[in-house]
Amino acid sequence: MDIDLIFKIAAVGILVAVLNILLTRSGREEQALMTTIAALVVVLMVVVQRISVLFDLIRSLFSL
Amino acid sequence: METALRAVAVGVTAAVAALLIKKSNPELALLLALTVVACIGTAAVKLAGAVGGAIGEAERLSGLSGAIFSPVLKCVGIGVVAKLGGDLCRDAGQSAVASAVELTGTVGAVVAALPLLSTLMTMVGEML
Repeated sequence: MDIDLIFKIAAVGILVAVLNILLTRSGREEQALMTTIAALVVVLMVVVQRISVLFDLIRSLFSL
Repeated sequence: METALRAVAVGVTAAVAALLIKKSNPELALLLALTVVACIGTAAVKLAGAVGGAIGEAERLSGLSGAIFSPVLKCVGIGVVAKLGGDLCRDAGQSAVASAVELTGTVGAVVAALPLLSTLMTMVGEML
């Protein structure tokens, strides 16, 4: 079980929250939104790989 | 035993982390939940590999054909995946999507069990 990945995603979430607040307070709402979307894409790329590993395992175990 | 304890620890830690980041960006909290599902699910499926071996042994000893055993395994797999996916959609606040996913899982399980049903029909037909 890869707990490092979970902490990494939580860290990205906290970092993006801080950046979001900073950018919003300095009046750059667009860049704040872009930061959120970029973080979302980065995390999604990582998560999709794990999900594909899980699906392959399930497919091989249950012979789907 | 060890895997179960580890799964509990990882799950609780991730739930706390998800609560922490849910206030500021709920979409990342959902991705965190998805990652936990992938991590714990992978461990669980690896553990279930041993059970798969035992089932194969039981199948060999009972002398039943693989055509009777495989739909059962397939239904279990489809049920697990559909339930997990549906619950994730429900966590994201999309109950309609969750229902659609679960409906597809149900139909898929029925389709996977069709050969078993036709075998039963043939058996009953021969008895009559």
